[in-house]
Amino acid sequence: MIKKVGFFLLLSFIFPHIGIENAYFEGNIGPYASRIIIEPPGIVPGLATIRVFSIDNKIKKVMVRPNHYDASIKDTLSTFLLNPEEANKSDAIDNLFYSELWLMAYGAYGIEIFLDGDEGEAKITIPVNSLSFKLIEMSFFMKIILFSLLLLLYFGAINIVSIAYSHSTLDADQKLTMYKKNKIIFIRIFATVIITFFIYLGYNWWLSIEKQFIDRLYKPYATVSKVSGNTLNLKIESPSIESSWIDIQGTIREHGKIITEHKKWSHIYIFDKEKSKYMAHLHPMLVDDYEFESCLPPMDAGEYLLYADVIHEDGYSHSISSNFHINSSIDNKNYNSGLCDKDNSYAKLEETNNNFTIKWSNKKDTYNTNDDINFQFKILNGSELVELDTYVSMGSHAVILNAEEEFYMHLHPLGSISMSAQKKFMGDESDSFICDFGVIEDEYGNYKVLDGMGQISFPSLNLKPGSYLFYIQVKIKETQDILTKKFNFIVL
Amino acid sequence: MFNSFKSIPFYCYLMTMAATIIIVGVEWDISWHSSIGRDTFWSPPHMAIYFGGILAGLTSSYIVLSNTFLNNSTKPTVTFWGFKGPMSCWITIWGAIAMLTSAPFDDWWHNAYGLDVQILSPPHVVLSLGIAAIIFGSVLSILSEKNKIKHKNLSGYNILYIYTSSLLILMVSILLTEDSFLNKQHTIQFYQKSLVLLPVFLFALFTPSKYKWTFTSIAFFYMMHRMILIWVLPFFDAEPMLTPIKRHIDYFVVPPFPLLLIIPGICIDYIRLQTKNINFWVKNLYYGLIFSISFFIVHWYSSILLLSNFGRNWFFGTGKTIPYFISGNKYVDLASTDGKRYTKVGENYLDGSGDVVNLINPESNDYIFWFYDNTSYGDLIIMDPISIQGLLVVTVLCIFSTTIGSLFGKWLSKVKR
Repeated sequence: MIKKVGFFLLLSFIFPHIGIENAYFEGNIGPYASRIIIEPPGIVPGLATIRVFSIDNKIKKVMVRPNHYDASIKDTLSTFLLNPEEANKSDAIDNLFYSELWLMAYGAYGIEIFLDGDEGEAKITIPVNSLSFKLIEMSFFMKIILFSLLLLLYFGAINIVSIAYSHSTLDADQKLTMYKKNKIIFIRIFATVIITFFIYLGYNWWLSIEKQFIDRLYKPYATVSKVSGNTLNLKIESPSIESSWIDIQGTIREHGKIITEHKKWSHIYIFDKEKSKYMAHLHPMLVDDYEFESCLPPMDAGEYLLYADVIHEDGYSHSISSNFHINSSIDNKNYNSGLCDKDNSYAKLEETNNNFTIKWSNKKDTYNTNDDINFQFKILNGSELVELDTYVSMGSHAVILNAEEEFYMHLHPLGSISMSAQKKFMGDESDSFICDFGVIEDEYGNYKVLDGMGQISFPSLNLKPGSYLFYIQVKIKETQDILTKKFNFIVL
Repeated sequence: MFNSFKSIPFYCYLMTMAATIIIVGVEWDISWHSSIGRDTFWSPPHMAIYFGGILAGLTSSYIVLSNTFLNNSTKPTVTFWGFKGPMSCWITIWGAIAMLTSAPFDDWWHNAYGLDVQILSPPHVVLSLGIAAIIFGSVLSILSEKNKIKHKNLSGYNILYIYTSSLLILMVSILLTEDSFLNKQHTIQFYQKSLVLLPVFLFALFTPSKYKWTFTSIAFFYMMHRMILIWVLPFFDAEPMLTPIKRHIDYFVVPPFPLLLIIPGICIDYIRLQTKNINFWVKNLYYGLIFSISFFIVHWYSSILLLSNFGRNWFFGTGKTIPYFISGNKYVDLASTDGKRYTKVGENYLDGSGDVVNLINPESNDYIFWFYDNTSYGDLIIMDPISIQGLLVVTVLCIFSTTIGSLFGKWLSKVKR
């Protein structure tokens, strides 16, 4: 048992929580302002929880259905789709609709959400990865119950065998012979050995199934990062393109080619080891199937860690992480010009910008586990709101890290979902509801789409207890400067 | 004959009824999962299975309690932890407890490892052991009553014994379902599992009966049970409710065509008539050899026949046995296959997700032999084709299983309590 517990602890150490949290979406879906939270089951097959909040209280009915990429994209002639199911309306929360859906297979799912109200029908697809990332241990109570029943069955079976031998063949008035009496003990031993052997076989079978399950548990694909001069090379381990399907199972190649997100092959975030002094947001070139290269901005010598978001042609989106070391400082002034991506940016977080400030207007220092953590920001020049520009197609980019554990989440004002994955499921429909700067409820309680005039909002989140770091990036329209700011908060 | 039925104790009928309800429930449940997919403990097939279990458990408990406390029975019993009852009732009660154990175990299993889409999982094996024990209890209840009777009019007992025995064989064949699809009957795995597991039960049940056509009759009842389901289930509408749905289904999926045990059965019954005076061990050597050879020949050729146009009709049900979550009739746009690769496994081509793609005739996958399988987590397993060496090993194991079954049958023929 100790060995098993140790194994599980090791697993939780090996498999960081990067990019596998709930899927959040907030924005206009047709005429309806909505917030959608999808909690994947964490075990495949399992039940995903879908919550749809009608921010403007105009939605009357919500229907949902899951759609696996395998059925929606590959079977091009098939129409093997489920009929949507109606979500329940919450009695406790006025504007909440909720439902549960089975995600039966691994890989990318599009959860289709159909809204209906006085202003007609609307639809959105939220991409969700179906992954196993939970290991559930049996509760003490369940162990006691099952172990008691096992003992009852075990000793019952041994007793049945010995009675079957000794008494079952006797006539009504026949007595047990001495020969049989003497032999019962051997029959009992024999039955015990055989039954114990079968239980042992069953236990090993159980362990082999658990191993298959653990092999399929989510872990970021192994990635190697190397720095050469001003260039970062990032290579995700993958089998050769000539490999058979057997060797491809469970590897990155299972998901096919990498596709772009906001016209970038990947979004790489680099932090110093302490996650407090330095941050860079880079966009690499794809140099091989699963290999990237990026220009590096000015950096001091030292240890760094990086996270990168990757999207595949099957709609599967995931994140990778890696560490690298820089021996001597880099002073590359051309990190965002020439062949380098023009949207590359970096920031020394301890330096303050004399002209502009980013203020988290509704920030608290501590939150409780079930609190909605609201992220509403004002970007000011002195006390005046500053007009913003989009940065890599979005009003803002944010990253949440955990100070102690490996936890990574990339957020936009519209949520945490991959828009390229969404387009894979929705086609061209997806562009109509892009929300650049987020939505807020103003002081009158009305829903308001932000227009880039100095305000940014991200969907509310619930996070597990821990000490978190929140990094936000915005682009100032007038100067085209990328502004980066870090905030700390604690969830108790 | 009618009088013979009248002399059978009522509890034997109740146990037979319980066994029938359970086995119908199990077949229905598999069809439910293959056609609808949605899983809840309260589904109608689950209710049927547990109703059967409760009926058998309560019937046996009543017999035990009345024997122990009312002392109104003069029939011989066995004593178990201070309680008195027939052997069959103890086995049935054990089966009911195993079924009870499987319910929380299965629920935990689903939460820990996900909803399984395969028949064989540890909690399902506990459930199967419970079900098998209950059915065996019903077989034994009839057999022990029959063994006590001296008069010759045993036709009622014989019919009921053969019927309940066929239910036990059906239960074993259900455990073999995943390897028994016609499409897998050219893999060595099918013969390994069938020829090791089935003879233990078949020969155990065959040995105690003096009826000349016992094996054939058990096989006939077993096959009829399956055939009736193949004929009836497609009349009921069903719609898959879980994704991915990989084929169009609007009816209850039928179980695979039954194993053609009737032909090995005729061979074995005939051999028994011809080898009455032969030594037990030699006789079992013949039985095992004849059973494995006839089983192999019959299934090798019948699977070819049934996968052809001959089997694609309401009578044989070929094409209606495959669940909604197994791909078939897949369309491949050859113009857009750029960058996609296909791995050849046997006669099949598998695409990047391990799904079968037939580039020439997309509708033919259901009617060819498969040499692959998937784990419950979707990973591919390659299965082995038949080889002479493999068949020889299987035959030796089959003789061994046959002998074990016959030894067990010798005990069954003496049970009187």
